[in-house]
Amino acid sequence: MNALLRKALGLLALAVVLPGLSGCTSPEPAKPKVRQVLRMRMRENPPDTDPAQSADTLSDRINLAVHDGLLDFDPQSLALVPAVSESWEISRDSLTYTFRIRPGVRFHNGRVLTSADVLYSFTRVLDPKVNSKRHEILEDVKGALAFEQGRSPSVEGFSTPDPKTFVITLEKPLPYFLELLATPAASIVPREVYEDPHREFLSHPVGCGPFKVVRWERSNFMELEAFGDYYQGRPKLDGILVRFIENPSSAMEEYRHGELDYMDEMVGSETALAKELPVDYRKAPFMGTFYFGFNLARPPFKGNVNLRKAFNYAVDRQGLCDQVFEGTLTPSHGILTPETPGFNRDLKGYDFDPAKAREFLAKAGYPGGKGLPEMDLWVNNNQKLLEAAQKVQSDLKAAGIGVRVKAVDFATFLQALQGSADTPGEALFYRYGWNADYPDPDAFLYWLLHSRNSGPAGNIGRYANPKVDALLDQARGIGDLEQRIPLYREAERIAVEEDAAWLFLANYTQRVLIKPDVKGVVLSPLGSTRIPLDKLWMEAPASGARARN
Amino acid sequence: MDGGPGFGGAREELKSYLLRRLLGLLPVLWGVATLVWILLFVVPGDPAALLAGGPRSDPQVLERVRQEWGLNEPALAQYWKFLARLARGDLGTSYLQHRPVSRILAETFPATAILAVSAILVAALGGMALGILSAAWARRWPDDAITFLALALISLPVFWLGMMLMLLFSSTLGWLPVLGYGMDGVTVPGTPFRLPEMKHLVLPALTLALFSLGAICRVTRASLIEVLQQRYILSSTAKGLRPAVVHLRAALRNALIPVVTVVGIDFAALLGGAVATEFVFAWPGLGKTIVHGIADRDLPVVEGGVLCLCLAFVLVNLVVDLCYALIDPRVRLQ
Repeated sequence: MNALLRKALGLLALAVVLPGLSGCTSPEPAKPKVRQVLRMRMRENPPDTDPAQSADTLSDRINLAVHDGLLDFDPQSLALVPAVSESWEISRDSLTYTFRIRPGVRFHNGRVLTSADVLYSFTRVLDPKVNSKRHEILEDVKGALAFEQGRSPSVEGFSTPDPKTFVITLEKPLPYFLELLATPAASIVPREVYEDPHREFLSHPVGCGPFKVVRWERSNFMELEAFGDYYQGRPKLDGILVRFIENPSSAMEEYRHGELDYMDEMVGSETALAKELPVDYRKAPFMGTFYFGFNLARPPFKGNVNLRKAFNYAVDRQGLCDQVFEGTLTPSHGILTPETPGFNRDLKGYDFDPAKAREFLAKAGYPGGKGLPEMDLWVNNNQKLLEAAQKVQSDLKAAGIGVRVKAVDFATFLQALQGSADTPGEALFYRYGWNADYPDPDAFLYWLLHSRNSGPAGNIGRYANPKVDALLDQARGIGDLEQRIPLYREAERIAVEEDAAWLFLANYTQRVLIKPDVKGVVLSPLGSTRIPLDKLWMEAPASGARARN
Repeated sequence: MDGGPGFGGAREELKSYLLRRLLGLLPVLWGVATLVWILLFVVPGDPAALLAGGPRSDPQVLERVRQEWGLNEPALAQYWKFLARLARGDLGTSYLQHRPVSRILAETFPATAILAVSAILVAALGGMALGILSAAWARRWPDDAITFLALALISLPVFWLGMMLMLLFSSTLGWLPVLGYGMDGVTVPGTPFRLPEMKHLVLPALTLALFSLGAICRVTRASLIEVLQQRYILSSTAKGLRPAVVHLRAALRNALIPVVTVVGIDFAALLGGAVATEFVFAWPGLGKTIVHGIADRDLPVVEGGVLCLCLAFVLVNLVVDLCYALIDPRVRLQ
């Protein structure tokens, strides 16, 4: 069976190479066709190759290469662009979305995609048996809840008037609904493959995206091949070789040795790396915020805004970004990052001011830190995070606040923070971070601040302010972004300046290493998972090694 | 002198010995399984939280994940189900990969086994050769040099040694690939397992071998020196036999027993201890899989992986015991 498979793959590879050899018959001297294969490093296997479960960067990267949804983001401007749907209309009441399916879209198994596939894929995301981690993207569709709770056999708000049209009706307007449809979880998958009870699709995903998975040896490599029938035209690259190299130092050696064209999550000194590989090293803004959270459901932070302000004044953000992160993080005064719509340049937040920190500490009832029990500062095991925690620890100590750094593995860390829906976690003070899934202030503020999401859903610190809840709910009901922005700004201002909901620290940036001959690279503010792999090409492959891959 | 049973008797004896040893495996496996289960149960960290999306998990999804994997059942019920599953020979399904653990083991254990076998071969042959040289020149400069080398190899951390070998042989000299398992290599018929490419095996195997090589060298030396002082060796030498013959034929065989013990223990330890090497060289082995399983709280993978290693450990020990009898006929299997 395996031999057969190998033969078939061999033939397949030959079929891809053959068109390149057709030049042999022409009078022009034939140039040997060099296969353009981008070799990229990933830390480990993608945990979820089922797009309905895609909720981490590793899974997103593979799923975005293999699958497509109705719409996509332009990686740079983040504007919505057509994908499987060539056009769409929104009704006057912002409740009905009609998508026109592009003709000639095919899945990797050759079958033509129709609106029935969209119906199947979207219903699947809401199916309790699939238990999608991302079911919330379609939860506002009419009848979604009834279907999820088993009260209805289908989702009322989905309809397919004809094979080329798909209609979604919402329960209530959701201004960024289209953005949600451009996330990996809203990918269109073929029913005949994804109904398999043995979930073979996890090892052999089939989509309609630019690349198809031809071979996957776990913890070793995944081979993706350009999909010839891709509806946006065959990608310029012939393939992508994803290599799973966990140890970043080993991966760096492999990159230096010329065996990788792309990698991220580098370790060591950023400054030295940027100096060593000035052309390869690229840095770009990223919609992600880095903060240290307070447990607002337990003392001493519960009900003590002065204590929270004291922490905020005590920490030197600039020092943290410069000394620990070597400029790969930028100090922030609030929650939204500068690339996020609605970012408020005028938000004052907290500057480093030890005198004010002491003043607020006294107001909080702990003059000079007296009476304040020493608490743990929880971080998950990671060298940089540990250094950041130590820096914050020393800044707090200078203001009279004593904390102990507690480094644990990620699973323990998560449990200590999240607790359960009803019980707050045991961690009182912890490092945390949040990346936006869609370019909208809601992607930060709703999940991090709304009391509805208290606990594991995102609002880990269990922040609850009815005024903020009301503003966020109100904003969710308004269609026009410009009208929503003042509401978000007010919500953010209250959480930051009035309530000091957490210790606001910094914004992330993304850093990657890319070989100079890889062209077409765009670093999206949504992260390196959004690099448009189908638009990349290689100018002058440096060695024959690439052809062999 | 023991008259000894006849040839057929010896075979019967061996058979009953093997049977007893194999039956003895069952309580060992049960004990290990229980210990692993308890450890994973008491360790903090909720598998469901990680499966339901980690930093952002919907309570409803979380609850369904718990139900799917039976994680909200009482501890004893979970343990009982686990044992019942094991008794049926079912190692369970990975929470994360949704694939049978047996399949995951079939893919990753051979990769580790090949690494460990290659490493132990290099370590045993190299270590014994150096040990013999060391004993032959005992307390003279070659002995000192070899002893220094052996001790250095024992004390160097595998992680560091691996990176150094990588920098030397791959990055600087360019003789060998930096890391990885290779993409070509033959697939073993009827299995999902593919052999590594030879050039990719060299550095990880060498890294793993060097630690044991030092230890085997030291044991061979000590054991050989001790045997060389026995009377029968002195009389062999007095009879005018050449030193090389005395060393290799008369002394080495008797000096081998402790060496075989060390080789056996080291081999078993290499199976479980290859994880640092696997990490440095991106080797898709079982050690790394278990470590990931622990980090992700993928309990069935950890349980299955540890049981697999435990079984290998016990079987290797059995082979070592059989080797004693082979080397020294006076050893009786009881």
